[in-house]
Amino acid sequence: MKRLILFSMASAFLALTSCTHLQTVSLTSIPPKRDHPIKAETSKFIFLGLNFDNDYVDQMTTQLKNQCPDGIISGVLTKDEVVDYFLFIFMSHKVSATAYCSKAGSRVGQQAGKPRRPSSDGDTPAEQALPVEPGYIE
Amino acid sequence: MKKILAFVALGLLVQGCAVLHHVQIGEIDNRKGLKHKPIDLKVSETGVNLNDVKTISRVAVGDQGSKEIREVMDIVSMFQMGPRTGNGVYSIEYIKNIGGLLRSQCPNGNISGLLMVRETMKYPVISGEIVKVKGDCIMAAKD
Repeated sequence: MKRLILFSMASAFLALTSCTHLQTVSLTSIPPKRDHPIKAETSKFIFLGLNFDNDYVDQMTTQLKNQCPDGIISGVLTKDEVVDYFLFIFMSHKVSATAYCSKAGSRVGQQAGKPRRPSSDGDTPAEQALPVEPGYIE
Repeated sequence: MKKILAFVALGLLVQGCAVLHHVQIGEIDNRKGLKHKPIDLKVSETGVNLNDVKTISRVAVGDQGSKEIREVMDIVSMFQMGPRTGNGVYSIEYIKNIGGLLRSQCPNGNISGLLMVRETMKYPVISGEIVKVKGDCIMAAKD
């Protein structure tokens, strides 16, 4: 009887606890104006490690774009986490992203409707690069 | 009870058929008045799981032959230590031209909204080590 009680308590502790593991994290340049934070999140529940595709991640950028129409999304903090509910038999893989939305025309040096100047990596001759807009800060 | 254990064992054997190692999202230019052309590319290479080779050799060639194979695999694995994602591949050249492939899909515009995914598709012994890149090629509307 005592062993049964101890076994039940141990099982209950295992079932009621979970662990969260941070797999990867990444961060892009943070804008000076951070008035409009946005967030996107997607997850997949995995049973017994049976996961046959990772297509659920593809909707992340769409979610961010829907929250920032006609703007530039920057300062993107991306986190990839695994939440283990019970001995990796029941677990969830969660990808989340938080960012800041800058409306067109609010960023310094960028005109609305004009694409930003691409970064030069030496392969593109200067004369083939997009023209520099007045007031653009390099 | 035996059936349940067999089912659990099967689940453990095929664990991680698709394994997500790394996800990264870059800045996204979602301004109106620009033309957005989607970019979607995937590069991959075949990886080899040395532990699966040892296990299968035990079945295929018997104990004596598999012992020699295991010893060779142990020596090989000693040269593959260190942090990594997925299984080892024979050559990492498959990822070196990702920048060139991206530029070829967007020769005259800005590349924006890059979603980069590093994943593994696992099969017995071999695996597909995959890098996926999705994004947008941004051009002025008149282009």
